[in-house]
Amino acid sequence: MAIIIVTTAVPFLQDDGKLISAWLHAHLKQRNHQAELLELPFEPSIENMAQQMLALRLLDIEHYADLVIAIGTPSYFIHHPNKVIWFTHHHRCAYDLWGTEYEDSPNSDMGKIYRSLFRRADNNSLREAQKIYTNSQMVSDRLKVFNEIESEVLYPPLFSSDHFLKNDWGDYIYFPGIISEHKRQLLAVEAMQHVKTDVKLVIAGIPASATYTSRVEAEIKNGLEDKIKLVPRWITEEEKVDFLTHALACTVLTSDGNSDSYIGLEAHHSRNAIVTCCDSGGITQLVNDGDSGYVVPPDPKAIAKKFDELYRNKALARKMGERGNRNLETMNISWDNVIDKLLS
Amino acid sequence: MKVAVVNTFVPFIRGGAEILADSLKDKLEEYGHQAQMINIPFAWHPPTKFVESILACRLMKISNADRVIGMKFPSYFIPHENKYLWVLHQFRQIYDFFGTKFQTLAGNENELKIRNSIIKADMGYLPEAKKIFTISPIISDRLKKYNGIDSSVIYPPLGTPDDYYCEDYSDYIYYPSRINEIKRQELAILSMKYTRSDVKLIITGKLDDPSCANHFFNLISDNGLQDKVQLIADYIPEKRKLELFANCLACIFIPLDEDYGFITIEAFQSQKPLITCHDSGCPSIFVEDGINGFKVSPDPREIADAMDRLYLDRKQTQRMGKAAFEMLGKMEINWDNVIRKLTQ
Repeated sequence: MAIIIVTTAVPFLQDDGKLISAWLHAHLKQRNHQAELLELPFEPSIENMAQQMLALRLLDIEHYADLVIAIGTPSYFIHHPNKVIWFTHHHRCAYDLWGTEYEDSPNSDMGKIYRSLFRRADNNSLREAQKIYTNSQMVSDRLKVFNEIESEVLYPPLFSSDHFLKNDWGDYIYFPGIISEHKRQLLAVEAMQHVKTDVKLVIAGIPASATYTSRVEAEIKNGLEDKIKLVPRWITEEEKVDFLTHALACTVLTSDGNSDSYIGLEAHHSRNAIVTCCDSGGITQLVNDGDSGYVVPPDPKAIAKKFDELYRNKALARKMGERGNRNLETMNISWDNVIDKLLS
Repeated sequence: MKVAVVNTFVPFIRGGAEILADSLKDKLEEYGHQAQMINIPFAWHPPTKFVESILACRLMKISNADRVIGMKFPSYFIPHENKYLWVLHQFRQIYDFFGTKFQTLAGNENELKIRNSIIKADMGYLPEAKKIFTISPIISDRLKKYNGIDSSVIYPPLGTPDDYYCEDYSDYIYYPSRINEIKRQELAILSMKYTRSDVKLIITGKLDDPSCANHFFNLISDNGLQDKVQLIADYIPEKRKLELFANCLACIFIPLDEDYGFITIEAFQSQKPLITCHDSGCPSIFVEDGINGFKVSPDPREIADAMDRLYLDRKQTQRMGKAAFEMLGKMEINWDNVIRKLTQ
């Protein structure tokens, strides 16, 4: 069958939806499917939203594809009689972030119209799908609460996890991901004020906010330069593999995250344990406290305690990492499974 | 700079336009820019879809790009404050094909209204671009004639010119191209009835209409041309195509009113002269009769005569081949020129 994968994104920006789409495309072709990838431009500012939504509705790919897989928001506005959605996140400004400092349209008449428009459009377009998958339980829960729609969790695998060979559980905790208030790098830095061992911390990621990154830098300069290495930029695949290969363990401390699926998967694929927080959202589905890592309150001292524990007991760090790796196998997070589900 | 190359595409079909757009994207990156392809799907049926497609493109937004390069109807309508056009195709159905046997529109009142909308769109939106280039004087002339718009020509180079080479001038004339009525392979085959030398003809290319295969094979056998004409109605591997170019006596390309025709450039890059017709469009602009090829009427006897001349005077043929190759340099058909003009 002819398959078209549709995604929407801002050009030139790194985007999870773009990555998953590209990987899915490559894996479909590897399995000799006829598949085309359509990456449409989309600019998420509120004043341009309505017209772009209309543009998506006006496009017609019905005659070209037997199956359309829409990945990311709001690619699923495109219509097709056989549409499968792999839903990754809501435009949360129209939902639970409405009325908070993160909302993108004011509580004015116009703002309310936008909010209503987006919700109605979501409800209609999502219901057109034959099947909806999400990339985490958290997102499925939100779909149920916000839109009263059922969905199935389908974790996105890594493109290829063959290249992780780990023999070294070293002396630093690795903290990957975009540097932003949401990801709470400062929490890890504060934790390092309380560690008692020689454990170190490596933070690597694109700075989403210059102000927040400056705060992180300032805190590190407060006597922690020997303990913390900050890499505030995009890192190459080689650099990432290097960090993961020699890490003691990984840490993800996002506040109420949609899903840090990749970071979690990469950590466990590379046999690294994960230290995370009980309010970190999606990643807590992946990590069981004491099994493949630790789940602690978002408190610097509690986090520091776990960093120290892993440093003192490298055999444990290794065992937890191995368990994380085995857990992934039982969760059947693979491209074979993904493709079976999407095409069924 | 960040350059978005915008192309209209029909999923699962990959022609010269797609290859050129992809080459442009690759070359932009080679020259140190960041480049991304944006492909917009276009629906052919029914004609009302044309207007919806135009509207969809007008409603889209390309953010985070310093320059947008529009190449084809209707995706070249997507607004952007720093847009250049390098027009590959307008919608010929409503321009020069209209009123001819190649017209596919029914011509009823509704479709005439649609035709007018498209003409208005071209005239209204194309001049928004900061600079308008086309790939050939034929297209520039059409833009001027039907829409009153001025433009300059940047001839597109081959994606990989260095792959082409010259090995020998043997006994066959080579006609590589999609096989359909407009390309007039039939005329080339009929010409072989009138050749007096032992010159042969090799035709390769995919049939636009696979059900026509028998028609062509019958044409060859009915006229007793089995020993003189070889027809391979399919894609051939790139390596084989390059080999056929490298060893042919000369090439022939006799379409009706071709906008550009990479075959001309491929022939010249392989140091081979070209037979073309006065009404062939751009190839007839490139060929100087007697210098780098022969330019004749679309008459089988005249074409046969040109073929014989090339066969019987090899030294002249070789000289013409060299002149053909030199012309590419003189006309600045190279990527330096393209990238420089499009990223100014």
